[in-house]
Amino acid sequence: MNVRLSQVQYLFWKEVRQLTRNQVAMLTSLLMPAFLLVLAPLLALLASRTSGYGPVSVPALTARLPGFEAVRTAQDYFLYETLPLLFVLVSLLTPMLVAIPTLIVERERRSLELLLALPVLVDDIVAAKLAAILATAVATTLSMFLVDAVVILTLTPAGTAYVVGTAFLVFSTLVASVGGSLLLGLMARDVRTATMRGALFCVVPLFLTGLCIVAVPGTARFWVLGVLMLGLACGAVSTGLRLLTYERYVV
Amino acid sequence: MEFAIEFHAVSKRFPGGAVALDNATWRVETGSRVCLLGPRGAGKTTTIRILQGALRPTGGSVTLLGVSVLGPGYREARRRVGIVPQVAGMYTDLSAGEYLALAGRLYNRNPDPATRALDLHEYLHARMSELSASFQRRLALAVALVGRPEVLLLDEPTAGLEPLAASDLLVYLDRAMEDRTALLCTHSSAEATQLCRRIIPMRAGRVVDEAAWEDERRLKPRLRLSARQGPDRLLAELDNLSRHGEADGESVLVEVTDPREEAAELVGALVRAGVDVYECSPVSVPVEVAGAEAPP
Repeated sequence: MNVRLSQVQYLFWKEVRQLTRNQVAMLTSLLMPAFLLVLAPLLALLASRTSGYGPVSVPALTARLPGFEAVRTAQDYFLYETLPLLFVLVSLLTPMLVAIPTLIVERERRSLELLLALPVLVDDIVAAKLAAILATAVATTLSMFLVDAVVILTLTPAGTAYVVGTAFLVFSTLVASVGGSLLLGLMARDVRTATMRGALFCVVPLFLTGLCIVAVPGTARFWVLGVLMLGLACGAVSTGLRLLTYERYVV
Repeated sequence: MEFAIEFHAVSKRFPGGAVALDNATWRVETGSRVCLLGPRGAGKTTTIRILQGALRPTGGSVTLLGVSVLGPGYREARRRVGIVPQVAGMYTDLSAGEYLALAGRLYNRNPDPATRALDLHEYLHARMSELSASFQRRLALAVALVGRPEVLLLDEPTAGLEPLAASDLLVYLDRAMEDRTALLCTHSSAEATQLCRRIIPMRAGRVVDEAAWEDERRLKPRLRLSARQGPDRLLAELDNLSRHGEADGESVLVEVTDPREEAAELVGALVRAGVDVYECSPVSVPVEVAGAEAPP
Protein backbone atom coordinates (compact mmCIF):
# COMPACT_ATOMS: atom_id res chain seq x y z
CA MET A 1 0.00 0.00 0.00
CA ASN A 2 1.40 3.33 -1.08
CA VAL A 3 0.01 6.05 1.17
CA ARG A 4 1.26 9.51 2.14
CA LEU A 5 0.22 10.44 5.66
CA SER A 6 -0.19 14.17 5.05
CA GLN A 7 -2.59 13.51 2.17
CA VAL A 8 -4.45 10.82 4.14
CA GLN A 9 -4.78 13.23 7.07
CA TYR A 10 -6.58 15.88 4.96
CA LEU A 11 -8.89 13.28 3.44
CA PHE A 12 -9.51 11.77 6.89
CA TRP A 13 -10.81 15.06 8.30
CA LYS A 14 -13.00 15.53 5.26
CA GLU A 15 -14.54 12.09 5.91
CA VAL A 16 -15.01 12.77 9.63
CA ARG A 17 -16.62 16.13 8.87
CA GLN A 18 -19.06 14.49 6.47
CA LEU A 19 -19.85 11.68 8.92
CA THR A 20 -20.60 14.05 11.76
CA ARG A 21 -22.92 15.99 9.45
CA ASN A 22 -24.72 12.83 8.38
CA GLN A 23 -27.57 12.65 10.88
CA VAL A 24 -28.75 9.18 9.86
CA ALA A 25 -25.26 7.69 10.17
CA MET A 26 -24.62 9.40 13.50
CA LEU A 27 -27.99 8.44 14.97
CA THR A 28 -27.66 4.78 14.01
CA SER A 29 -24.06 4.57 15.14
CA LEU A 30 -24.96 6.18 18.47
CA LEU A 31 -28.37 4.71 19.25
CA MET A 32 -27.52 1.08 18.60
CA PRO A 33 -24.48 1.05 20.95
CA ALA A 34 -26.43 3.17 23.46
CA PHE A 35 -29.12 0.49 23.70
CA LEU A 36 -26.97 -2.61 23.44
CA LEU A 37 -23.85 -1.40 25.20
CA VAL A 38 -25.20 0.88 27.91
CA LEU A 39 -28.90 0.46 28.55
CA ALA A 40 -29.19 -3.34 28.28
CA PRO A 41 -26.10 -4.18 30.43
CA LEU A 42 -26.95 -1.52 33.00
CA LEU A 43 -30.49 -2.81 33.45
CA ALA A 44 -29.36 -6.44 33.46
CA LEU A 45 -26.64 -5.81 36.04
CA LEU A 46 -28.97 -3.81 38.25
CA ALA A 47 -31.59 -6.54 37.97
CA SER A 48 -29.02 -9.22 38.78
CA ARG A 49 -28.49 -7.58 42.19
CA THR A 50 -32.14 -7.87 43.14
CA SER A 51 -33.45 -10.66 45.30
CA GLY A 52 -35.25 -12.39 42.44
CA TYR A 53 -31.91 -13.28 40.88
CA GLY A 54 -29.67 -15.78 42.57
CA PRO A 55 -27.77 -18.92 41.77
CA VAL A 56 -28.37 -20.54 38.40
CA SER A 57 -28.41 -24.26 37.84
CA VAL A 58 -26.41 -25.00 34.73
CA PRO A 59 -27.34 -28.38 33.19
CA ALA A 60 -24.75 -31.04 33.98
CA LEU A 61 -23.60 -31.49 30.38
CA THR A 62 -23.25 -27.73 29.86
CA ALA A 63 -21.44 -27.30 33.16
CA ARG A 64 -18.67 -29.56 31.88
CA LEU A 65 -17.84 -27.02 29.15
CA PRO A 66 -14.81 -24.88 30.13
CA GLY A 67 -16.71 -21.68 29.38
CA PHE A 68 -19.31 -22.43 32.02
CA GLU A 69 -17.07 -23.50 34.87
CA ALA A 70 -17.17 -20.08 36.58
CA VAL A 71 -20.89 -19.58 36.11
CA ARG A 72 -22.63 -19.80 39.48
CA THR A 73 -25.08 -16.91 39.50
CA ALA A 74 -27.30 -15.06 37.03
CA GLN A 75 -24.79 -12.21 37.18
CA ASP A 76 -21.94 -14.59 36.21
CA TYR A 77 -24.07 -15.85 33.36
CA PHE A 78 -24.67 -12.32 32.10
CA LEU A 79 -21.04 -11.25 32.52
CA TYR A 80 -19.41 -14.28 30.92
CA GLU A 81 -21.98 -15.61 28.45
CA THR A 82 -24.29 -12.77 27.34
CA LEU A 83 -22.26 -9.57 27.64
CA PRO A 84 -19.33 -10.71 25.42
CA LEU A 85 -21.85 -11.47 22.69
CA LEU A 86 -23.31 -7.96 23.01
CA PHE A 87 -19.82 -6.44 22.93
CA VAL A 88 -18.98 -8.33 19.74
CA LEU A 89 -22.31 -7.58 18.09
CA VAL A 90 -22.07 -3.83 18.70
CA SER A 91 -18.40 -3.66 17.72
CA LEU A 92 -19.14 -5.52 14.49
CA LEU A 93 -22.16 -3.50 13.47
CA THR A 94 -21.08 0.05 14.36
CA PRO A 95 -18.18 0.30 11.84
CA MET A 96 -20.32 -1.28 9.14
CA LEU A 97 -23.09 1.28 9.72
CA VAL A 98 -20.49 4.02 9.36
CA ALA A 99 -18.87 2.32 6.36
CA ILE A 100 -22.03 2.36 4.27
CA PRO A 101 -22.19 6.16 3.80
CA THR A 102 -18.41 6.50 3.71
CA LEU A 103 -17.56 3.77 1.22
CA ILE A 104 -20.68 2.60 -0.57
CA VAL A 105 -22.81 5.74 -0.88
CA GLU A 106 -19.78 7.67 -2.10
CA ARG A 107 -19.40 5.27 -4.99
CA GLU A 108 -23.12 4.88 -5.61
CA ARG A 109 -23.61 8.66 -5.93
CA ARG A 110 -20.49 8.98 -8.12
CA SER A 111 -18.99 11.54 -5.76
CA LEU A 112 -15.93 9.28 -5.65
CA GLU A 113 -15.04 10.96 -8.96
CA LEU A 114 -14.45 14.17 -7.01
CA LEU A 115 -11.84 12.46 -4.84
CA LEU A 116 -10.16 10.69 -7.75
CA ALA A 117 -9.75 14.10 -9.42
CA LEU A 118 -7.64 15.32 -6.47
CA PRO A 119 -3.85 14.80 -6.35
CA VAL A 120 -4.08 11.61 -4.29
CA LEU A 121 -3.89 7.90 -4.99
CA VAL A 122 -6.73 5.43 -4.48
CA ASP A 123 -4.62 4.01 -1.61
CA ASP A 124 -4.80 7.40 0.17
CA ILE A 125 -8.56 7.63 -0.34
CA VAL A 126 -9.26 4.12 0.98
CA ALA A 127 -6.83 4.51 3.91
CA ALA A 128 -8.50 7.80 4.91
CA LYS A 129 -11.95 6.27 4.71
CA LEU A 130 -10.97 3.23 6.80
CA ALA A 131 -9.26 5.47 9.39
CA ALA A 132 -12.38 7.65 9.59
CA ILE A 133 -14.62 4.60 10.01
CA LEU A 134 -12.39 3.22 12.78
CA ALA A 135 -12.07 6.59 14.54
CA THR A 136 -15.82 7.21 14.51
CA ALA A 137 -16.60 3.68 15.66
CA VAL A 138 -13.96 3.83 18.42
CA ALA A 139 -15.23 7.23 19.59
CA THR A 140 -18.83 6.03 19.89
CA THR A 141 -18.27 2.45 21.05
CA LEU A 142 -15.37 2.85 23.47
CA SER A 143 -16.92 5.91 25.13
CA MET A 144 -20.02 3.86 25.85
CA PHE A 145 -17.89 0.93 26.93
CA LEU A 146 -16.38 3.20 29.59
CA VAL A 147 -19.84 3.48 31.15
CA ASP A 148 -20.01 -0.32 31.21
CA ALA A 149 -16.55 -0.49 32.76
CA VAL A 150 -17.56 1.78 35.61
CA VAL A 151 -20.81 -0.12 36.15
CA ILE A 152 -19.05 -3.51 36.08
CA LEU A 153 -16.36 -2.37 38.51
CA THR A 154 -18.87 -0.88 40.93
CA LEU A 155 -21.76 -3.34 40.75
CA THR A 156 -20.04 -6.68 40.19
CA PRO A 157 -17.13 -8.63 41.62
CA ALA A 158 -15.55 -8.89 38.14
CA GLY A 159 -12.30 -6.99 38.52
CA THR A 160 -9.94 -5.01 36.37
CA ALA A 161 -8.84 -8.12 34.45
CA TYR A 162 -12.40 -8.52 33.15
CA VAL A 163 -12.63 -4.88 32.07
CA VAL A 164 -9.22 -4.87 30.38
CA GLY A 165 -9.99 -8.15 28.61
CA THR A 166 -13.34 -6.94 27.30
CA ALA A 167 -11.81 -3.59 26.25
CA PHE A 168 -9.28 -5.52 24.17
CA LEU A 169 -12.10 -7.60 22.71
CA VAL A 170 -14.16 -4.53 21.80
CA PHE A 171 -11.20 -2.80 20.16
CA SER A 172 -10.04 -5.86 18.20
CA THR A 173 -13.61 -6.51 17.01
CA LEU A 174 -13.85 -2.90 15.83
CA VAL A 175 -10.62 -3.44 13.86
CA ALA A 176 -11.99 -6.70 12.40
CA SER A 177 -15.17 -4.95 11.39
CA VAL A 178 -13.21 -2.17 9.66
CA GLY A 179 -11.34 -4.90 7.74
CA GLY A 180 -14.71 -6.41 6.83
CA SER A 181 -15.90 -2.97 5.75
CA LEU A 182 -13.03 -2.80 3.27
CA LEU A 183 -14.18 -6.09 1.74
CA LEU A 184 -17.74 -4.81 1.79
CA GLY A 185 -16.70 -1.65 -0.02
CA LEU A 186 -14.88 -3.65 -2.67
CA MET A 187 -17.59 -6.27 -3.16
CA ALA A 188 -20.91 -4.46 -2.78
CA ARG A 189 -22.04 -2.25 -5.64
CA ASP A 190 -24.84 -0.49 -3.75
CA VAL A 191 -26.32 0.05 -0.31
CA ARG A 192 -28.80 -2.81 -0.66
CA THR A 193 -26.11 -5.37 -1.48
CA ALA A 194 -23.89 -3.90 1.22
CA THR A 195 -26.59 -4.39 3.86
CA MET A 196 -27.12 -8.01 2.85
CA ARG A 197 -23.42 -8.85 2.60
CA GLY A 198 -22.67 -6.95 5.80
CA ALA A 199 -24.96 -9.34 7.66
CA LEU A 200 -23.16 -12.29 6.05
CA PHE A 201 -19.77 -10.92 7.12
CA CYS A 202 -20.94 -11.10 10.74
CA VAL A 203 -21.50 -14.87 10.59
CA VAL A 204 -17.87 -15.97 11.07
CA PRO A 205 -17.03 -13.56 13.96
CA LEU A 206 -20.27 -14.44 15.74
CA PHE A 207 -19.60 -18.15 15.32
CA LEU A 208 -16.09 -17.69 16.76
CA THR A 209 -17.60 -15.71 19.63
CA GLY A 210 -20.01 -18.51 20.47
CA LEU A 211 -17.16 -21.02 20.28
CA CYS A 212 -14.91 -19.01 22.61
CA ILE A 213 -17.74 -18.37 25.07
CA VAL A 214 -18.34 -22.08 25.58
CA ALA A 215 -14.80 -23.37 25.10
CA VAL A 216 -12.46 -20.90 26.80
CA PRO A 217 -12.63 -20.44 30.60
CA GLY A 218 -12.75 -17.17 32.53
CA THR A 219 -11.38 -13.91 31.17
CA ALA A 220 -9.01 -15.79 28.84
CA ARG A 221 -11.93 -16.00 26.39
CA PHE A 222 -11.71 -12.25 25.76
CA TRP A 223 -8.02 -12.42 24.85
CA VAL A 224 -8.40 -15.52 22.68
CA LEU A 225 -11.38 -14.05 20.88
CA GLY A 226 -9.65 -10.68 20.54
CA VAL A 227 -6.64 -12.30 18.88
CA LEU A 228 -8.96 -14.24 16.54
CA MET A 229 -10.68 -10.96 15.62
CA LEU A 230 -7.32 -9.37 14.81
CA GLY A 231 -6.58 -12.44 12.66
CA LEU A 232 -9.87 -11.91 10.81
CA ALA A 233 -8.96 -8.24 10.31
CA CYS A 234 -5.59 -9.20 8.80
CA GLY A 235 -7.28 -11.78 6.56
CA ALA A 236 -9.88 -9.27 5.36
CA VAL A 237 -7.35 -6.53 4.61
CA SER A 238 -4.97 -8.95 2.90
CA THR A 239 -7.80 -10.37 0.76
CA GLY A 240 -8.94 -6.86 -0.07
CA LEU A 241 -5.48 -5.71 -1.14
CA ARG A 242 -4.29 -8.83 -2.97
CA LEU A 243 -7.29 -10.54 -4.48
CA LEU A 244 -9.97 -7.94 -4.98
CA THR A 245 -7.78 -4.83 -5.54
CA TYR A 246 -8.99 -1.26 -5.49
CA GLU A 247 -9.99 -1.39 -9.16
CA ARG A 248 -13.27 -2.89 -7.99
CA TYR A 249 -13.88 0.18 -5.93
CA VAL A 250 -13.30 2.76 -8.64
CA VAL A 251 -14.80 1.02 -11.68
CA MET B 1 10.30 16.67 -29.00
CA GLU B 2 8.94 16.10 -25.48
CA PHE B 3 5.75 14.24 -24.75
CA ALA B 4 3.60 14.89 -21.70
CA ILE B 5 1.55 11.72 -22.15
CA GLU B 6 2.56 8.52 -23.94
CA PHE B 7 0.50 5.38 -24.42
CA HIS B 8 2.43 2.52 -25.96
CA ALA B 9 0.56 -0.64 -26.95
CA VAL B 10 -1.73 -0.20 -23.93
CA SER B 11 -4.42 -2.76 -23.22
CA LYS B 12 -6.92 -2.86 -20.42
CA ARG B 13 -8.96 -5.97 -19.88
CA PHE B 14 -11.38 -6.12 -16.94
CA PRO B 15 -11.79 -9.29 -14.85
CA GLY B 16 -15.12 -10.06 -16.54
CA GLY B 17 -13.33 -10.17 -19.91
CA ALA B 18 -14.46 -6.77 -21.24
CA VAL B 19 -11.72 -5.04 -23.21
CA ALA B 20 -11.64 -1.28 -22.61
CA LEU B 21 -8.35 -0.57 -24.39
CA ASP B 22 -6.85 -2.72 -27.09
CA ASN B 23 -3.22 -2.10 -28.06
CA ALA B 24 -3.69 1.68 -28.00
CA THR B 25 -0.67 3.74 -28.98
CA TRP B 26 -0.67 7.52 -29.04
CA ARG B 27 1.11 10.42 -27.45
CA VAL B 28 0.57 14.05 -26.59
CA GLU B 29 3.29 16.56 -27.21
CA THR B 30 4.06 18.88 -24.30
CA GLY B 31 2.06 22.09 -24.59
CA SER B 32 -0.39 20.77 -27.20
CA ARG B 33 -4.16 20.38 -27.03
CA VAL B 34 -5.30 16.95 -28.08
CA CYS B 35 -8.72 15.35 -28.14
CA LEU B 36 -9.59 11.69 -27.75
CA LEU B 37 -12.78 11.55 -29.79
CA GLY B 38 -15.05 8.56 -29.73
CA PRO B 39 -18.48 7.22 -28.82
CA ARG B 40 -19.39 5.52 -25.53
CA GLY B 41 -17.22 2.48 -24.93
CA ALA B 42 -14.32 3.87 -26.95
CA GLY B 43 -12.05 3.70 -23.89
CA LYS B 44 -11.84 7.41 -23.11
CA THR B 45 -12.74 7.20 -19.43
CA THR B 46 -10.51 4.14 -18.98
CA THR B 47 -7.68 6.24 -20.42
CA ILE B 48 -8.31 8.96 -17.82
CA ARG B 49 -8.58 6.33 -15.07
CA ILE B 50 -5.18 4.92 -16.04
CA LEU B 51 -3.62 8.39 -16.10
CA GLN B 52 -5.06 9.20 -12.66
CA GLY B 53 -3.61 5.96 -11.29
CA ALA B 54 -6.99 4.41 -10.48
CA LEU B 55 -6.63 1.57 -13.01
CA ARG B 56 -3.56 -0.42 -14.00
CA PRO B 57 -3.08 -1.28 -17.66
CA THR B 58 -3.00 -5.02 -18.33
CA GLY B 59 -0.48 -4.54 -21.13
CA GLY B 60 1.81 -1.89 -22.59
CA SER B 61 3.23 1.18 -20.92
CA VAL B 62 1.85 4.57 -19.97
CA THR B 63 3.98 7.55 -19.05
CA LEU B 64 2.79 10.84 -17.62
CA LEU B 65 5.24 13.75 -17.65
CA GLY B 66 8.02 11.29 -18.39
CA VAL B 67 7.22 8.96 -15.49
CA SER B 68 5.57 5.55 -15.69
CA VAL B 69 2.13 5.54 -14.08
CA LEU B 70 3.22 2.38 -12.26
CA GLY B 71 6.61 3.79 -11.23
CA PRO B 72 7.86 5.40 -8.04
CA GLY B 73 7.82 8.99 -9.32
CA TYR B 74 4.19 8.84 -10.36
CA ARG B 75 2.82 10.50 -7.23
CA GLU B 76 4.88 13.64 -7.86
CA ALA B 77 3.92 13.67 -11.55
CA ARG B 78 0.27 13.34 -10.57
CA ARG B 79 0.52 16.54 -8.52
CA ARG B 80 1.36 18.39 -11.74
CA VAL B 81 -1.88 17.24 -13.38
CA GLY B 82 -5.40 18.64 -13.04
CA ILE B 83 -8.40 16.45 -13.76
CA VAL B 84 -11.97 17.38 -14.58
CA PRO B 85 -13.98 14.17 -14.08
CA GLN B 86 -16.95 13.01 -16.08
CA VAL B 87 -20.32 13.98 -14.53
CA ALA B 88 -19.53 13.55 -10.84
CA GLY B 89 -22.07 13.28 -8.05
CA MET B 90 -21.84 16.31 -5.80
CA TYR B 91 -21.59 16.17 -2.01
CA THR B 92 -24.73 17.16 -0.17
CA ASP B 93 -22.80 17.84 3.02
CA LEU B 94 -19.83 19.87 1.78
CA SER B 95 -19.79 23.42 0.46
CA ALA B 96 -18.00 24.47 -2.71
CA GLY B 97 -15.53 26.40 -0.55
CA GLU B 98 -14.74 23.36 1.60
CA TYR B 99 -14.04 21.22 -1.46
CA LEU B 100 -11.80 23.94 -2.92
CA ALA B 101 -10.03 24.29 0.43
CA LEU B 102 -9.41 20.53 0.52
CA ALA B 103 -7.90 20.72 -2.96
CA GLY B 104 -5.79 23.68 -1.83
CA ARG B 105 -4.41 21.73 1.14
CA LEU B 106 -3.68 18.66 -0.99
CA TYR B 107 -1.89 20.72 -3.65
CA ASN B 108 -0.40 22.99 -0.98
CA ARG B 109 -1.64 25.98 -2.97
CA ASN B 110 -4.03 28.85 -2.37
CA PRO B 111 -7.32 28.03 -4.16
CA ASP B 112 -8.33 31.73 -4.50
CA PRO B 113 -6.85 32.36 -7.99
CA ALA B 114 -8.70 29.34 -9.42
CA THR B 115 -11.89 30.43 -7.62
CA ARG B 116 -11.64 33.88 -9.17
CA ALA B 117 -10.75 32.55 -12.62
CA LEU B 118 -13.96 30.52 -12.68
CA ASP B 119 -16.07 33.29 -11.10
CA LEU B 120 -17.06 31.09 -8.18
CA HIS B 121 -16.31 33.43 -5.26
CA GLU B 122 -20.01 34.17 -4.66
CA TYR B 123 -20.87 30.50 -4.39
CA LEU B 124 -18.27 29.29 -1.91
CA HIS B 125 -20.82 28.84 0.89
CA ALA B 126 -23.32 26.96 -1.27
CA ARG B 127 -23.59 23.20 -0.83
CA MET B 128 -22.04 21.47 -3.81
CA SER B 129 -25.22 19.59 -4.63
CA GLU B 130 -27.22 22.83 -4.67
CA LEU B 131 -25.10 24.43 -7.39
CA SER B 132 -26.50 24.36 -10.92
CA ALA B 133 -24.99 21.78 -13.30
CA SER B 134 -23.02 24.52 -15.01
CA PHE B 135 -21.53 25.79 -11.72
CA GLN B 136 -20.77 22.22 -10.64
CA ARG B 137 -18.61 21.81 -13.77
CA ARG B 138 -16.97 25.14 -13.15
CA LEU B 139 -16.21 24.02 -9.60
CA ALA B 140 -14.65 20.79 -10.94
CA LEU B 141 -12.57 22.86 -13.37
CA ALA B 142 -11.53 25.27 -10.60
CA VAL B 143 -10.35 22.34 -8.44
CA ALA B 144 -8.36 20.99 -11.39
CA LEU B 145 -6.68 24.39 -11.73
CA VAL B 146 -5.86 24.90 -8.02
CA GLY B 147 -2.47 23.20 -8.38
CA ARG B 148 -1.59 25.26 -11.50
CA PRO B 149 -1.20 22.03 -13.44
CA GLU B 150 1.09 21.49 -16.39
CA VAL B 151 -1.32 18.92 -17.80
CA LEU B 152 -5.10 19.17 -17.83
CA LEU B 153 -7.22 16.05 -18.36
CA LEU B 154 -10.85 16.72 -19.25
CA ASP B 155 -13.29 13.83 -19.31
CA GLU B 156 -16.50 14.80 -21.15
CA PRO B 157 -16.59 18.18 -19.38
CA THR B 158 -19.81 19.40 -21.02
CA ALA B 159 -21.77 16.11 -21.05
CA GLY B 160 -25.37 16.57 -19.97
CA LEU B 161 -25.26 20.38 -19.93
CA GLU B 162 -27.85 22.58 -21.64
CA PRO B 163 -26.50 24.07 -24.90
CA LEU B 164 -26.15 27.56 -23.42
CA ALA B 165 -24.40 26.29 -20.29
CA ALA B 166 -22.14 24.09 -22.43
CA SER B 167 -21.10 26.99 -24.63
CA ASP B 168 -20.43 29.12 -21.51
CA LEU B 169 -18.25 26.36 -20.09
CA LEU B 170 -16.35 26.03 -23.37
CA VAL B 171 -15.13 29.61 -22.91
CA TYR B 172 -13.74 28.74 -19.47
CA LEU B 173 -12.26 25.49 -20.79
CA ASP B 174 -10.58 27.28 -23.67
CA ARG B 175 -9.03 29.73 -21.24
CA ALA B 176 -7.98 26.95 -18.86
CA MET B 177 -6.30 24.99 -21.66
CA GLU B 178 -4.13 27.96 -22.66
CA ASP B 179 -0.37 27.49 -22.20
CA ARG B 180 -0.59 23.95 -20.92
CA THR B 181 -0.87 20.43 -22.22
CA ALA B 182 -4.51 19.43 -22.43
CA LEU B 183 -6.18 16.13 -23.21
CA LEU B 184 -9.89 16.40 -23.86
CA CYS B 185 -12.01 13.25 -24.00
CA THR B 186 -15.32 13.78 -25.73
CA HIS B 187 -17.88 12.26 -28.06
CA SER B 188 -18.62 15.65 -29.60
CA SER B 189 -16.68 16.43 -32.76
CA ALA B 190 -17.85 20.06 -32.58
CA GLU B 191 -16.34 20.42 -29.13
CA ALA B 192 -13.20 18.65 -30.24
CA THR B 193 -12.64 20.92 -33.20
CA GLN B 194 -13.41 24.02 -31.18
CA LEU B 195 -10.98 23.27 -28.36
CA CYS B 196 -8.23 21.08 -29.77
CA ARG B 197 -5.52 21.24 -32.40
CA ARG B 198 -5.35 17.51 -32.95
CA ILE B 199 -7.90 14.72 -32.75
CA ILE B 200 -7.19 11.09 -31.97
CA PRO B 201 -10.25 9.09 -32.98
CA MET B 202 -10.98 6.02 -30.85
CA ARG B 203 -13.45 3.20 -31.19
CA ALA B 204 -13.92 0.09 -29.05
CA GLY B 205 -10.64 0.68 -27.24
CA ARG B 206 -8.58 1.08 -30.39
CA VAL B 207 -7.06 4.16 -31.94
CA VAL B 208 -8.52 4.53 -35.40
CA ASP B 209 -6.05 5.44 -38.12
CA GLU B 210 -6.54 9.18 -38.43
CA ALA B 211 -6.36 9.37 -42.24
CA ALA B 212 -8.64 6.36 -42.71
CA TRP B 213 -11.05 7.86 -40.20
CA GLU B 214 -11.14 11.11 -42.16
CA ASP B 215 -11.79 9.24 -45.42
CA GLU B 216 -14.51 7.22 -43.78
CA ARG B 217 -16.16 10.38 -42.47
CA ARG B 218 -16.09 11.94 -45.93
CA LEU B 219 -17.32 8.90 -47.83
CA LYS B 220 -19.99 7.47 -45.59
CA PRO B 221 -23.42 9.05 -45.87
CA ARG B 222 -24.86 10.15 -42.56
CA LEU B 223 -28.05 11.40 -41.02
CA ARG B 224 -28.22 14.34 -38.66
CA LEU B 225 -30.67 13.66 -35.85
CA SER B 226 -31.84 15.99 -33.11
CA ALA B 227 -34.15 15.15 -30.24
CA ARG B 228 -35.86 17.06 -27.46
CA GLN B 229 -34.03 14.94 -24.85
CA GLY B 230 -30.60 15.96 -26.18
CA PRO B 231 -27.66 14.14 -27.76
CA ASP B 232 -26.78 11.93 -24.79
CA ARG B 233 -30.17 10.21 -24.79
CA LEU B 234 -30.06 9.90 -28.58
CA LEU B 235 -26.63 8.29 -28.42
CA ALA B 236 -27.78 5.90 -25.72
CA GLU B 237 -30.79 4.78 -27.78
CA LEU B 238 -28.69 4.47 -30.92
CA ASP B 239 -26.33 2.24 -28.94
CA ASN B 240 -29.34 0.09 -28.01
CA LEU B 241 -30.22 -0.09 -31.70
CA SER B 242 -26.61 -1.12 -32.46
CA ARG B 243 -26.09 2.03 -34.52
CA HIS B 244 -22.97 4.14 -34.29
CA GLY B 245 -23.66 7.79 -33.57
CA GLU B 246 -21.39 10.74 -32.96
CA ALA B 247 -22.43 13.91 -31.16
CA ASP B 248 -22.11 17.12 -33.12
CA GLY B 249 -23.22 19.97 -30.92
CA GLU B 250 -26.84 19.35 -30.02
CA SER B 251 -27.29 16.88 -32.91
CA VAL B 252 -26.03 13.39 -33.50
CA LEU B 253 -24.55 12.17 -36.77
CA VAL B 254 -25.40 8.57 -37.61
CA GLU B 255 -23.67 6.55 -40.28
CA VAL B 256 -26.08 4.94 -42.72
CA THR B 257 -25.83 3.06 -46.00
CA ASP B 258 -28.78 4.70 -47.71
CA PRO B 259 -30.22 7.78 -45.99
CA ARG B 260 -33.53 7.65 -47.88
CA GLU B 261 -34.16 4.02 -47.04
CA GLU B 262 -33.03 4.10 -43.43
CA ALA B 263 -34.22 7.47 -42.17
CA ALA B 264 -37.88 6.56 -41.64
CA GLU B 265 -37.03 3.23 -40.06
CA LEU B 266 -34.48 4.79 -37.69
CA VAL B 267 -36.74 7.67 -36.63
CA GLY B 268 -39.60 5.21 -36.09
CA ALA B 269 -37.45 3.03 -33.84
CA LEU B 270 -36.26 6.05 -31.84
CA VAL B 271 -39.79 7.41 -31.40
CA ARG B 272 -40.98 3.97 -30.26
CA ALA B 273 -38.17 4.04 -27.68
CA GLY B 274 -39.57 7.32 -26.33
CA VAL B 275 -37.11 9.72 -27.98
CA ASP B 276 -38.78 12.86 -29.38
CA VAL B 277 -36.90 13.32 -32.65
CA TYR B 278 -37.54 16.73 -34.20
CA GLU B 279 -34.88 16.75 -36.90
CA CYS B 280 -33.66 14.13 -39.35
CA SER B 281 -31.77 15.22 -42.43
CA PRO B 282 -29.07 13.71 -44.66
CA VAL B 283 -25.61 15.20 -44.23
CA SER B 284 -23.98 16.02 -47.54
CA VAL B 285 -21.08 18.17 -46.35
CA PRO B 286 -18.64 16.38 -44.07
CA VAL B 287 -17.61 17.88 -40.75
CA GLU B 288 -13.99 18.86 -41.18
CA VAL B 289 -11.44 18.28 -38.53
CA ALA B 290 -9.64 21.60 -38.42
CA GLY B 291 -5.91 21.51 -38.07
CA ALA B 292 -5.67 17.74 -37.73
CA GLU B 293 -2.08 16.59 -37.72
CA ALA B 294 -0.58 13.30 -38.68
CA PRO B 295 -0.85 10.59 -36.04
CA PRO B 296 2.28 9.89 -33.99
